[in-house]
Amino acid sequence: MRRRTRILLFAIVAALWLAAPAFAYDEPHNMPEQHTGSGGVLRDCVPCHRLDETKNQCAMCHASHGVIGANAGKGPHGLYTATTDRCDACHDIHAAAGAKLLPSATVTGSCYTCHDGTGGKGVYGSIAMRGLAVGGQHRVDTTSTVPGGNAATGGSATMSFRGLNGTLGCNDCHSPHGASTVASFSPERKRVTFSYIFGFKSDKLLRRNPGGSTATATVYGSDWCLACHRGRASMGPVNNHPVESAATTTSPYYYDNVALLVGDDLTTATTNGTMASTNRGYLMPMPRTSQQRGHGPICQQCHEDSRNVGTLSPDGLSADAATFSITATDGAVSTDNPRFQNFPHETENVRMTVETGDDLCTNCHAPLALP
Amino acid sequence: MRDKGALLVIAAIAALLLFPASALAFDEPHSQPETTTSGGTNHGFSLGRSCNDCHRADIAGSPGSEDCLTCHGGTMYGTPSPESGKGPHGVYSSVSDRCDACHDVHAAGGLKLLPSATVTASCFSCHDGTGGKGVYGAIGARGIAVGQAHRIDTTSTVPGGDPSTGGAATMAFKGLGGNLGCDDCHSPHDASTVATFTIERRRTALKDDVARVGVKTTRLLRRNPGGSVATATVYGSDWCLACHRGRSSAGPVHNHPVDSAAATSAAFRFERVAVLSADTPTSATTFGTLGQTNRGYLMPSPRTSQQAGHAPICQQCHADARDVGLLIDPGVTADAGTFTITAADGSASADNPRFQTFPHETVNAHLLVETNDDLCTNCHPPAVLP
Repeated sequence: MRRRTRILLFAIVAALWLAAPAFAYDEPHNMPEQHTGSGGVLRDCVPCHRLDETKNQCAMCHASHGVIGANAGKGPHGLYTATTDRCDACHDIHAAAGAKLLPSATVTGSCYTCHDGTGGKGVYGSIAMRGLAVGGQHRVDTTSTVPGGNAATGGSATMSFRGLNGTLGCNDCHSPHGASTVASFSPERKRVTFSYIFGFKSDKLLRRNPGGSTATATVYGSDWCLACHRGRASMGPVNNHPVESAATTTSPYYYDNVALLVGDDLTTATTNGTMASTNRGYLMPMPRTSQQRGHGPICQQCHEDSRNVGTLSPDGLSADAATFSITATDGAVSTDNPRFQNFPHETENVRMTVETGDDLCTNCHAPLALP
Repeated sequence: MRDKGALLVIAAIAALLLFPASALAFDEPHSQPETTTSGGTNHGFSLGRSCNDCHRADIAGSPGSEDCLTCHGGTMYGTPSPESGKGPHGVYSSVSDRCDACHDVHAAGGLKLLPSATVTASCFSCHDGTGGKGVYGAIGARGIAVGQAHRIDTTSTVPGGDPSTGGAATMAFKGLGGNLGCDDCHSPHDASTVATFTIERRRTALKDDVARVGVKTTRLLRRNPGGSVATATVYGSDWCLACHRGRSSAGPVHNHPVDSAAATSAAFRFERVAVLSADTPTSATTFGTLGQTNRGYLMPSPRTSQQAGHAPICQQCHADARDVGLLIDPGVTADAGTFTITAADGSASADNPRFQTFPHETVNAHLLVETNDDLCTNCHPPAVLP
């Protein structure tokens, strides 16, 4: 009897162990990131990845193990050639669960096949998983209303999106095939604990025409946001905070090229660089530096993952950026700054602002320098 | 004495191995020599062979009066007629002698007066693949793994046979134990078969077989394969869908679009699809057969006027494994792989397609013409994906 019980328990454990249906990056199905068993030994792909007739399908998402380059970071999204096997990561030719031969009834559901946030590891879900409230988000399959979408009034507008019943869907912003996407830019999110796949530039599959907009944004910056939030531009009929965009200058700053402080210590100097993996892009000392003059902030200098960006000195002449630190994935370490890297999916702060209240305003407008 | 006895036994075994043929032939049975050593085309007659070496004599048993006409038409020594390609399957008349190619009126080997205990075994009396020359066995005989097959006398389960779910279904077939048998798809008497279509398989090395290229046959394909209720008068998607009912794109199951009667009033079929107008890079298509060309497996983007409004037919994804060519980025132009078959039964590895045994068995999994993204990108160039 006891033996039968042991056999039954073993069968249950084995079934659970081998139940993972498919695909993986870090997010799905709470797969152990290290790909190792209890002994720390690299485990076969098989327990987590599905098999084809003759071999495992690691290459479906990974370019190869060993040197993992930018291509591996694309998962099955793009790089389709006559020698790849990536299409059927998302498409079943026959008896698919949803339209477009997708594995779920909806596009969002299909995205969640991998990016499901199980275990609080997705771009949606990690904040709540840590017991925190979500302050602002781009909700999917929920609404077709775009705050600030009316170019004439700055009010809301309705757009015809690709999601469920015309609401905003994942593929309104992202091209699952990596087609017609913006230029690659530096990522900030730490998705796995592996250090060697951190920092590769990616286009994040961001469409050049998000939401099917007529406006085209070839880089990730204000113009990408303004493609939908058309009433948030400056220099138009709506009185908005100045924002750097193609409508205001011929060479606007963008996410990978803004004026950054030269160090985390108190400084008055800036240089041009990416906003990613640093908190030096959110403060503007006064007077503005030569790199800052003539430029408004881009949307992402106010709207980003919640963090402590640091402060200006009381007179505003110098800036003290807070140290950028991400030591764990998905907000597992509460002292990380920023703790979460989910923007613009969901963030802790309301309206997805990087800081809130006057803490935000005083990053560029030192009280002693106000008129 | 012992040596003499042993020699007799060996000679007897050798004779049995050399002349075990019960009857009938085309290319496939019993590794019959196709050519003379000089490359002739007369079954080795110049080497002193006669029909009787392989073929049984007629009823009269007159020496030299073989039953060649059982399988061959009257023009067997010239350009074979379409009837000659039918073997003993059909074209029965008061002046023909074809019935007894398969049926023995008395003391037959099996039911229905067939020469073997089962229908499959009776078919294999000729189409046995001996020497790797059949629709089953040629791939394995070349040391290559079979990727997928319509297995006979093995299963009654039809993948994608359930029209409501796309899952598997069970059918009551004609084969052994109710499993799929040869005569589920083929009518041995060529009765109620589909319209003739262009053949692709090269069955012999004979020059005459080359001359047969372009000859159309029914392939003895039933209009109601598997005893299905659905009738397919032509070989195309509807013929496949008669059994694989859950693979239609016009029903509740999410399948890749496929041109069929359920989807359009004038569905494409094997003998009429939009094929590229040339093997060289082109954006133009014309109407034609999928047979004897690799031009029917690529769809440039945007679609041509002939392709517009039509989904692919089953046979544009499922066919003998081959290099169909590729779309040239960004997909506006298609460059078809050159169709070449220089030898029978996959003997020449560079032939494209090497084997012509679909849908019996093919090299690729799922009987796909190409695999993985190599298949998808034939019609969906990465540059135009959303």
